[in-house]
Amino acid sequence: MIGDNKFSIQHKEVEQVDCLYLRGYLDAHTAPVLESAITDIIGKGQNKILVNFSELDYISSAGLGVFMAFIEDVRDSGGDIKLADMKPKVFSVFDLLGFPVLFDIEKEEKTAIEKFSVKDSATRFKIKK
Amino acid sequence: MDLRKLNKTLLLSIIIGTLILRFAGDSFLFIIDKLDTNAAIIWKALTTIVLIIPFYILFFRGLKSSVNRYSEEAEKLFFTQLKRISLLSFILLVFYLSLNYLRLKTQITGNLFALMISEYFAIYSIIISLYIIFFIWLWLLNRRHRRTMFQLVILRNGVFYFIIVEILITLFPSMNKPVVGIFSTSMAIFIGLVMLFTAKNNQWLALLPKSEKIKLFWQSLFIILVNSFIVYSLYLRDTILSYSLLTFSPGAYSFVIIVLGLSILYFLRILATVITSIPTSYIIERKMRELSSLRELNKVVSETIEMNLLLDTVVRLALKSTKSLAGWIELYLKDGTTQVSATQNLDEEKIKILDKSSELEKLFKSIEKPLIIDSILDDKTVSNLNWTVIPNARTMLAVPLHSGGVKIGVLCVLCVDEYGFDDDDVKILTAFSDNISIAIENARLVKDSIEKERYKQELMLAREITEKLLPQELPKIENYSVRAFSLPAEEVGGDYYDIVRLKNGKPCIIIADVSGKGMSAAFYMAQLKGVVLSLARESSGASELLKRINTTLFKEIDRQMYITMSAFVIENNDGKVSYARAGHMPGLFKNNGDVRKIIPKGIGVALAEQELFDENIEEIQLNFNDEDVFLLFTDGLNELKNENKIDLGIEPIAELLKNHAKENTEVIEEKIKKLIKEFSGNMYQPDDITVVIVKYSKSTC
Repeated sequence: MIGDNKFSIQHKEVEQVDCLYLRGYLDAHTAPVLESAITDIIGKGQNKILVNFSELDYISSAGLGVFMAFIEDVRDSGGDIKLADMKPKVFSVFDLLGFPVLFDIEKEEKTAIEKFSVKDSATRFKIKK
Repeated sequence: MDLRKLNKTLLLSIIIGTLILRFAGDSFLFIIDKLDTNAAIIWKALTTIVLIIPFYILFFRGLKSSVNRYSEEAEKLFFTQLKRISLLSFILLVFYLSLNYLRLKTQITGNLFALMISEYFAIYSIIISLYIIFFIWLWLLNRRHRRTMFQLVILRNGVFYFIIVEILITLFPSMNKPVVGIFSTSMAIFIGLVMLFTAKNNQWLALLPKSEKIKLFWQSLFIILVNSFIVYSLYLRDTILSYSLLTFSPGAYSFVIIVLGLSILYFLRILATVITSIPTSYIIERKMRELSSLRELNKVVSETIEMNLLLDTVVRLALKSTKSLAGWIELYLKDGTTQVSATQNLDEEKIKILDKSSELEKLFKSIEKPLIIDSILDDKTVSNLNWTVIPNARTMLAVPLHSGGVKIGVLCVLCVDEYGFDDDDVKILTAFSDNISIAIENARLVKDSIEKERYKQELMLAREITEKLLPQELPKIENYSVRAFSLPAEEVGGDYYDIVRLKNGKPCIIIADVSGKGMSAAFYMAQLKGVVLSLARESSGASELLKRINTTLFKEIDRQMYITMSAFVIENNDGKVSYARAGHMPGLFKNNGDVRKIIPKGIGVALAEQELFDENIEEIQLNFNDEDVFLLFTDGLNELKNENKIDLGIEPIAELLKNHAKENTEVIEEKIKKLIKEFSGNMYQPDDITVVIVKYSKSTC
């Protein structure tokens, strides 16, 4: 079963950006782990979050939902959640759903971090509920 | 002959008949003065045997309907019989003393009445001996050990031979006296040793309550004294009893003396056991009490799901086994509060008054091991509590309760004596707390499984409802053949498909997948159906319908939820269709010889607000040729896993479409189902699978 493949998150801070390194399977069972990691970061008053997907093998619809749940609040506070370094298979899931229009998805972590210093980089993404 | 079937009255009449006959015969012999002849002795021996046999049957058939080992009835019976023996021995003693006082002995030879009295006396002592030997036999057998049977056989044969020897001595007085004397004495000693050995296994007496032990002590002592006195007077031979027995029958004397001797040994053993065990009675009684409490608790734990009843029982038993005054259980609830869950000889109000400042509660929360406070009035940790509500309490013992490694509460008992609790109390309460933990765990598991079952049933219901939301029959469209199927995963999902009519009457095929699983997905799917049905009537194209749906649902749906869907509109009968996609899986289009993924731009429904969504949705026009097929599906299909957890992917589906497009849609559906089954094998299907097949066949007419 899918849940067999463990999911784990590493948290690092790079140039005032909270980087989350995802690993394994992100599905309905493991999504709460990511949820609480992001909640923690927001709870500390941080709003620049970078999610690195380089070690992530699979993402399900529930996993995608996690980003949707936080993005609005994060952007309202002037920050952003940027996604980087996806495997082609993971990217195609985001792509099919139209995420490139909604999120800043970068090939490399470095460019994504640099983009955090560009002001109002997230304004072109208009998600509001 | 079956001894058990012999009637009691028959036996009694034999006894009485023999007695009358015996007295008549003796009177006759007395009158003709032939009492001392050998013929008279044979007469006496014969009648005695006839007399003894019915008694033997009466007593010893009781052995066969044996008493239940170690039952309470057995104990009761033991004491009844013991009382009877004491009484019979006492009567014998009184009988003996009064006859002795009357100096009957000197009158036997010259007085028929005195002879009869002496014979009564002899018969009575023989009956007592028979009863005593029955008693000893019964209880040795009842509390037998491995070698009891063997030893009893030796004992029985020993007694038998001893009596034979004695009879021979009487009948042939000319035998070498010293040799025979040594022989019979050593035999008696041997029998006595075997008796002592056999009676060794009487540890069960140690388990009797103290009061019964004391009773047993006095009774055995009494029996020993009386019997010793009688045996001693028999041994002297120059007494009325020995004289009566010797003249009554050969063997009677030796029988009575050996049986009474054995009984003295038997009761000496009992006496020894009782004396040694009386000082430890307190501990034994206490252990028995603890054992029975634990047994009762275990029973309650295994049978009771009702938590309050269980906790009440626990406190009650805790009081019983520690001889405490009062007690209660506090449980720590999930919301951080503490709840008094069971009390004995106390109530919640009193505990609240006692612990107004919550100091006790804090103390209890801090302990990991059992806590004894030997004097609650002197110990500073608790002395300032309001003990006036329980004025007699002097000592406190609190034991933490655990479940699954977490401390969940405290069991606390109070005792009226200072230093009233000891190690054993701590041990027994710890055992109690372990049991409670098991019980709580059990109750939790039962509750969980009930909830799980309920949830399962609700899911089943939800699935039935969602299945009804799917079309039972698809409308017929000229030149097109449409087939669809949905295979639900174990959990309720949110797959949806339908064919609706747009404002302009064009048929529109919808396929959708609500993100996530379970109840919420099912509810959104139901909502979606309503939205689709109503908005279709206002829309005239695929992308327009999807835009309207997004606008309507965007604010209605939870942030983390979204819907991927496709709309496929059949524009005319000549193969012209339009296709729009909102984040959904690509459509597979088998056009001429090729299979292509058709991926028009489009964001999932409810992911972006109207403007962004509408900007990014694209509508593609397609033209079907004859035998062209279009396949719409949800990601449950391409994400289906095989045993190696490899996804099915889109390629095998495209391949299948390429190979079987010529077949009718029914066959294609079967092929896809077969592919699903063969690929996943016995694996669990993680997500709903929904497939819609659209085939265009130019009408030939």
